[in-house]
Amino acid sequence: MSTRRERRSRARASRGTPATPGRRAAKRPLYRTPAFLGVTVLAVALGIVLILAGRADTTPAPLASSVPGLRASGHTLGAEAAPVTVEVWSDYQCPYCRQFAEGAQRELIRNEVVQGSVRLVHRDFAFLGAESELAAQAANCAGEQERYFDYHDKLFAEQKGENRGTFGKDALKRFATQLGLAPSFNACLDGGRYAADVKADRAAASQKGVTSTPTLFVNGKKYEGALPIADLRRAINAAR
Amino acid sequence: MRRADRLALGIAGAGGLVSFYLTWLHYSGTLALCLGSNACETVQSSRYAELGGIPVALLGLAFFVLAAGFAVQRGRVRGERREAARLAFFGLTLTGVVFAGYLTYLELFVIGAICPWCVSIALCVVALFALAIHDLARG
Repeated sequence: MSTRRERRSRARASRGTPATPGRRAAKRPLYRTPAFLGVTVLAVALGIVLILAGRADTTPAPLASSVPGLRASGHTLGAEAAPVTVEVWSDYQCPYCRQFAEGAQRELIRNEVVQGSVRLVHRDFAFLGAESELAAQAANCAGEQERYFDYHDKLFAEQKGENRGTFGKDALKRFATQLGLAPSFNACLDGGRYAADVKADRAAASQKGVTSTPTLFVNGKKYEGALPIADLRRAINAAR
Repeated sequence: MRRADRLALGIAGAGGLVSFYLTWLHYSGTLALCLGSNACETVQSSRYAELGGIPVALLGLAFFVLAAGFAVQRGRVRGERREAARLAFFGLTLTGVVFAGYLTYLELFVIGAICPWCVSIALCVVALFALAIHDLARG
């Protein structure tokens, strides 16, 4: 009766292609061949390339205030006389709001808003908890220094989970320092100067029928969800 | 086909199905069925969900299709071509483990949300890598 090792050895021999008994005996296991080493190095290198490619995609976009020709006033970007107004209701902790802000909205700002055909208005529907409200208040405080949209972009860039300290007061003050805002920002935030405004915006959202974020109004017509830029442009063309 | 190859094919099939579901979600903009949490929404809509404009889920689908191809190939060919298929299977799964490890790190420490679908895909990748190691260890 043959042992398990012998049976395995026979099975292996019948699967392989030993050209001659001598060559078979001299054959090294695959994991001890130069080809194995090459494949290992190549595979790890490819993995690292994929990781680096992903990281390159996450470089922060330039701040709204650095876009040439962009006019900002409080929550509004673009010309007062623009024929189309896009009103965006969002929550800084909502992932789809960030997707929209960093995708279609950014594309819209760099084209239609700069060209003067669209005016963008940002409104707060801060419904995802205390840190949503604090973040919205902080953006308003930055607005006192004409940096509302820079802070808006910073909040979305820093978004990470919900109500877990990402938008706590210390973090919000740190963002302000990183953006080079004056120390009056801290007093504004600590004093809750815009707490009532943020609550009022939320109440106004409910009155307008906003139940989820992001919700857009293109010249008053309601669209829900993070619209891709193509759909948003269709909505804008329909509103002209 | 050997049992290990059938197992690899099954795992690649399962991973491929989940990747296909996540790819479909990505293009349709539909929310994932996420066992009551909104972690899938967070991960799915994060900036890391795409790589150079290509959805990571689609890369996963391509990975599992290739892995299934190599698993089948290992059992069908002989000699040097078989060894090439075994090495390719190992190399592919090693790349997969490196990248899946990075994506899991992102979920845990950067995005701050764990998506069960993504975890199941990472487990499939690790299982395929384990099978590749087992295959090589057999000599």
